[in-house]
Amino acid sequence: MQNFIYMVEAMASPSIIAAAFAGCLWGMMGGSLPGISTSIAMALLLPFTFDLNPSTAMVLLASVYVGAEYGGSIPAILIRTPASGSAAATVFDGYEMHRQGRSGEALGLSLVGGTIGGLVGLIVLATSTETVAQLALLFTPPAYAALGILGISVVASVSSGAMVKGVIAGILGLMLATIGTDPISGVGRFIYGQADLLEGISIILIMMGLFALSEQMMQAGQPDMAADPEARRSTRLVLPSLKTLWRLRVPQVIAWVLGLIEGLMPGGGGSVASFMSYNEAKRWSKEPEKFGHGSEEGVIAPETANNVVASTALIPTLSFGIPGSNSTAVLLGALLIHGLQPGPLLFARHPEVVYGLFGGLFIANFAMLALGVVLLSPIIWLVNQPKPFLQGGIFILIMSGVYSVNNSTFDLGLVLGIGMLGFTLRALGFPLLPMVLGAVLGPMIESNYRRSLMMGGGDLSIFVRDPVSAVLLGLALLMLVTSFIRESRHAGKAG
Amino acid sequence: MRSRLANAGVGLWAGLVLLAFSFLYWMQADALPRSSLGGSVGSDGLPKLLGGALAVMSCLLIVQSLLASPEKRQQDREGLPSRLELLRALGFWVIAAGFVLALPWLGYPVAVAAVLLAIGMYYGRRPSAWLIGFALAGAAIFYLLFHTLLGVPVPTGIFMDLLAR
Repeated sequence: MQNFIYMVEAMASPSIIAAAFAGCLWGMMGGSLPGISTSIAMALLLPFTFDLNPSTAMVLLASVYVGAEYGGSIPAILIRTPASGSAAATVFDGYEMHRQGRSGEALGLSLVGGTIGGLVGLIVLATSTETVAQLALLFTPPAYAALGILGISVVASVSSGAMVKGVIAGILGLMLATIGTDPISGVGRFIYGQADLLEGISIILIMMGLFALSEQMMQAGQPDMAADPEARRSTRLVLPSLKTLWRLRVPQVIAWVLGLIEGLMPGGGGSVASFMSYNEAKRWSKEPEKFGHGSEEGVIAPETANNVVASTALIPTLSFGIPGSNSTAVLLGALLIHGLQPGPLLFARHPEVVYGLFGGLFIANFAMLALGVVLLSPIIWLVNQPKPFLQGGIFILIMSGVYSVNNSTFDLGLVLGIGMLGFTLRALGFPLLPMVLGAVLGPMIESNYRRSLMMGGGDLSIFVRDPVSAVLLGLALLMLVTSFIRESRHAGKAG
Repeated sequence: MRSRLANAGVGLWAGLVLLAFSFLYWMQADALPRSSLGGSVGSDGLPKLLGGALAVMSCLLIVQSLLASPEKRQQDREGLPSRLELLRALGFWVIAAGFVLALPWLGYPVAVAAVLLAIGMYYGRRPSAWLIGFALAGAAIFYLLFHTLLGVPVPTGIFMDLLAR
């Protein structure tokens, strides 16, 4: 009961409310700029939190996290440029909706779905952090590696009529992830003497090249002066009705569950949950054929999932002191700066900070909704300007964002190369989603694969002996085999 | 069989290129230096596995394209961009490459203004005062956003260096 009072007190505190709104606004701005990741947006604010009391400081930073998770979906929907990995799955149907003149609808679904998802995650966070955190302990290195493989298999298996191409794209993504210094032995791989490649290719560069630059090249092929005429019809935000939200309950529930599970595990930072939610929503949908062609379910599922993760990722951070992503690592750093030691004792020693943070996050989710309602209509208007202006602006936004990652012109060259690769693959009918997921999950898969083999003395049977890993790998195999049989039958009938 | 090979088109050629790439990648992985820190798998373990997997999937793609129905092959061909679309896409890429090459020399504000102008003209606008104004205003806004507000140390180039003197 006392903890609930701490939450209510925080929600009524003017300084907490101001911190939640300010953090959310900054996060939405930072999150929507390619290259300015959630963690960078948080880190830029960190020095300003030194003089704040711990509760306000935590709420400010956590609100940046919430706002940035939503902000990433704005360019994903409007200009096919996901600003973060967790917004990448939104591109497919969100951008299609934009092209059909339904930008307002897509952004509304993303905003409301994200807010509800954030609140669901928050309820889990506030009520069952200590219990739910035990689930994370079930995941051993073999299970993590298997989870990554399952993620790519799921995405590849639902690549419409192109499962083989989907798997190939996933493998190419994993290959991109192997470039750079091997984290275990320190050996440089595929770097060919380039010092800029020692740290590997940042995922943001891969996404900018594959999604954004390849789309600009595609757009250049249709050089009409005006913006997409259908897209121009949409100039304002359209919030979904309760009826629509009820109709879209299945993808939302899927996203809640997957977001909760991923939030508990370090690694993906919302990416796995949003990709898997997208694919499970497609699998369970009554209209799977609409996915990739502007499906509402295809927008709300990933957007809900990544906002659930924004809350649930705090569970391992607060309970064990294990940050699941760079963003929660910044939050962890802020806790330590304010003399708070994360772990089970944090709940006993400083309940006012922990539950004050939960109260502030509650406000932050509503702040996200309010700010979205105010800001999104002018943003939609902006991206409906004629192509000669719009394409130039988008190009500079992409290149400036890419440059700001490492302040390197070499990265710009890399994006050009990846953009050409993305354009070629798209032209040949290869799906890009498995490739991006391969690149996102590659480091997690490889490190856990090798760690597992070290644990098992080089014996691959460790992946079958671990029950969680065995189930996940079995599911991955089942999905690929059934998809291949279905595709072969379909091809046979067509012949 | 000969007509199947001739018509297999896109999938067949993509499969062959990927197959060649998978061999090249595997060989490069095999040439990686060994380290005693690498554990039982080594730094070449996953890359070799991926090379092998890509080779298998490329073969599957080749077989699939050889066995595909004429309708599917026609569908694949229709999905390809036209020659004009391809050339325009490549043209855009050349402008992008020009920007990347010129950025360190011209500096961020000048290079941004130049590329905004170039893209505007590429999309058919004439070089009017309006377009030049857009390019200059765009350069100023992006410079303020990334350099002044976010503190990104953008390339200054020869013009800004001259101004600084």
